[in-house]
Amino acid sequence: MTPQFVLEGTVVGLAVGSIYALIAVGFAVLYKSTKILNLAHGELVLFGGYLAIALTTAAGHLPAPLAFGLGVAGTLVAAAALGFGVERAVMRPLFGQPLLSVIIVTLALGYVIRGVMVGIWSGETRTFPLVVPPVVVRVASVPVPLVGVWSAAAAAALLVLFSLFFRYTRWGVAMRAAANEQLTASALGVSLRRVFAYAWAFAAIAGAVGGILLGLWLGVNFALAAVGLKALAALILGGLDSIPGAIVGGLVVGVLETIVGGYIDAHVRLFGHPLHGFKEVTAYLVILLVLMVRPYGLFGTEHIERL
Amino acid sequence: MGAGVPLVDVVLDVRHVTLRFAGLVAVSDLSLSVRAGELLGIIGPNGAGKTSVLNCINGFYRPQAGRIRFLDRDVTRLLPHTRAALCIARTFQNIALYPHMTVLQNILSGRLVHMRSSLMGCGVYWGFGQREVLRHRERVEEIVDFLEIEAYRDARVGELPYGIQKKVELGRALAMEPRLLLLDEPMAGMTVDEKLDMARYILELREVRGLPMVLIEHDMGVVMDLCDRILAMDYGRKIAEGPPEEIQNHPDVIRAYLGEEHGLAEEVAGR
Amino acid sequence: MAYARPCGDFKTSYAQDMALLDVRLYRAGFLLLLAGLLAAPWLLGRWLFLLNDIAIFAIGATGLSLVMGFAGQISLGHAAFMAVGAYTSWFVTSELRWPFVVALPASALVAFAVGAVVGLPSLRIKGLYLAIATLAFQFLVEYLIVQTVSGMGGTPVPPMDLLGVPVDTEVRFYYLALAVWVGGAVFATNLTRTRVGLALMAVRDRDYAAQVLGVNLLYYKTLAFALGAAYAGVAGSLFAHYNRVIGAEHFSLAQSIDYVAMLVIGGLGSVWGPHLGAAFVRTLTQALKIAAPLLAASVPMLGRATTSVREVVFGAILIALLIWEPGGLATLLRKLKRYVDLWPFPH
Repeated sequence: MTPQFVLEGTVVGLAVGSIYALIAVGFAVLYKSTKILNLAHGELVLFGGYLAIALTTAAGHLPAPLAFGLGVAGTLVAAAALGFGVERAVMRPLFGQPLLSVIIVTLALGYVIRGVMVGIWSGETRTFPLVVPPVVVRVASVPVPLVGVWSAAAAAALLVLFSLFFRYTRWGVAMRAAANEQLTASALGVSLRRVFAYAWAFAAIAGAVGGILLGLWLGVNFALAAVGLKALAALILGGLDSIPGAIVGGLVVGVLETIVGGYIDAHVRLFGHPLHGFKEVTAYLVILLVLMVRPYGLFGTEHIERL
Repeated sequence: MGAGVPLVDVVLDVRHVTLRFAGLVAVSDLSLSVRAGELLGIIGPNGAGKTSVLNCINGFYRPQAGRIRFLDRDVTRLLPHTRAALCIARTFQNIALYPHMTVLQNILSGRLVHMRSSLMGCGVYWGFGQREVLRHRERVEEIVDFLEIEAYRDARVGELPYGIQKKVELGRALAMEPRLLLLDEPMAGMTVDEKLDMARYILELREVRGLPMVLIEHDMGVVMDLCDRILAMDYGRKIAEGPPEEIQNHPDVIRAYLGEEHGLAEEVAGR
Repeated sequence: MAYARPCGDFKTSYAQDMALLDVRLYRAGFLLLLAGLLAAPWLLGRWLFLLNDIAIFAIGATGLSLVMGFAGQISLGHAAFMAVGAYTSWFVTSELRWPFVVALPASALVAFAVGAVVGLPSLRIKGLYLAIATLAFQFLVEYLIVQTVSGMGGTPVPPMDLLGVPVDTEVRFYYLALAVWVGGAVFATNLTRTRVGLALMAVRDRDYAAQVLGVNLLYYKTLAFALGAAYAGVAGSLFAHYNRVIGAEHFSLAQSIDYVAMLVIGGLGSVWGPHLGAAFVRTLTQALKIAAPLLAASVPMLGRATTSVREVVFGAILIALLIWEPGGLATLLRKLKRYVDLWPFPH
């Protein structure tokens, strides 16, 4: 493992990781405010990527930046609507049901969303029309495609924007209050229904933006849904109920999979078989290791049971 | 019950136990003992550490300091299920039954410590597995008779009224044929009639079966009437110990209950 | 002994009260079901493959019902255990060239061991976290299959031979699978009414209480995973020799989710649940597999949209069930049973 390899891995990993972080934050906010672990999150990412591409392509007669802007705006509105819709139609009737039912419902939801998307877009890899020029720039002497730089910068900017939202706006504070203590918050006049609805909309938007950014860089196909699970790894690493943890976790997963995964991918053999694509399972190994060693993650709170 | 009264005089001996949670001292240098056939009451305001003491005795919490001996055996380091196998039974403050199982299944599950059939024996059933379950089933029926809950046998516990659930929980503990029974507020939230029933069962367990018990209860009338000896706690410490009459008039106990805000609030809530 | 109604009918021994089929009508119904299953090759003809398919997955689902329905531990990696059984069976018959009668128990044992190892963390990891850990296990197994044994294609598995008799037709396989299916189902049902089942349900309903009542959590949680995996292993072994080719796509995450769907649709914590669920899910899967191309051919406008009909229908059924009838098909069956019990009175 040469220093150059590590440096390259770090830069590229941080760029990808910032997108994971963004997706993981959507995940974390939803979990914190509703206690629902959304296993359909990957499908929300896919939804964002595919819809943005379809909309941008449909507006292809306009100048490229305008078409892209319209595509993104339309996707964000659609994602918010999807989030609200899911909360209203599926999650609200399940309020108070056991954990297992809720997890399974999110899985089923993933099936439905994905099925509909396969039906419409048939699951082939699709790419955005040229929005960012395909040039390579050097970051810390490492060559990175310009798209990557843009995506990472956008993700970072959004992360800052989100944290400002949660710190200073009325709804941000209400959502944090609900996350801390649902009953108390509702007694103090926070409408839990609205908080839940906003959390779903927020999660869908964060996922969709992640899908758009990854799509810009790598194109969109159905393997992208696995990114939802990478975000889950980031979340577990950071601690399920910690938003800064989700960000750090996202960056770490991005770097780890680029460096460690990339290295094993290229150099390590198991029973004489080269381990191609190891990069893709690094995240799951991270999950297993973290769960064994420190189940509540780096920043999560340990739960003490009371009798 | 079958286990009989052991010949040792001191059944449970807790010595200088201290339990801390990240800075908070729940139990501080507490010692207590329960003699054969004795009913020991533990009283104290909310948050005094009463339940934590029970949790230390049955192994759910591990104290940082001190020793616990049960029937002349050091159990301080044993896991909860191993202590249960020594027949220490308990009930919980906020009913901890198995809500999706029937009354019979709940009480039968108390017999688990006495069940020996193997995995294969269980799966094949006809033969040893069946004989064993039926044998235990008879003991369960005795308990159902004792607690007068025949009518609820096949009902799911989660759907039963609170008072009945409390009875079933006592039944499940009795099914273990305990040599020590820990009761954590068995009468909290019950009606007067239900309390009377519960007191009757506890008395019968003590008088007829000589079962040693530790009882946490907020109803002072009940505690004073039933217990042989009472231990009063506040802020994790023992503030007094002795026969009921003595505790009733103990200045520290009165101060703990009446002198401070938390004591008053609790008294109001307890009525 | 009453013929139908238990009302006003007194049982005279605890054995009768503990019996699984306590009324003559139910016993007759069960015998009728068994007779129907035995006669299935004549009744179903060339559709027998449906029942073979159901049998395999019902065995696997029975295992998952021990883990999820009875012990209350979420597993999103059940198909991975099925893979362990399938590849063990392949290894024993194809590489070691030992007979199938060795391969089948070997699959169960190896899966049992792997299940125990995967179940070990369940003491520390609970609920959501456990679900995620099993999910990670599922992905790692899929990855290992692709990287080491099967690649992106499949691995051929030799035909079955039962003590010299080749099991080479649907009918022969059916009787073998039926025997394993009924045996496995009875074993699991017996477990649920004895020591093991009581302890598992205690763990499910309230683990800390179970602990202070003498249930060793580590032992029983691990046992639940190991048992569940053993059933999946047996299902995997049967599947391998029935399908004659195995690959990563047969044991994917989608299959694991299908298993969960079978349990939820059938009814969690019910002994009939996994069988009803497996029958429903597999029949629907096969029906949609047959119907989708027909639909696409007759309504060309739908085109490729029909390829994903299964996912959408499935997801929708799951969501609807969880919202309106969380008890699944088994609860509907129980309601029917109640109706029969009380007939002719409505309540």
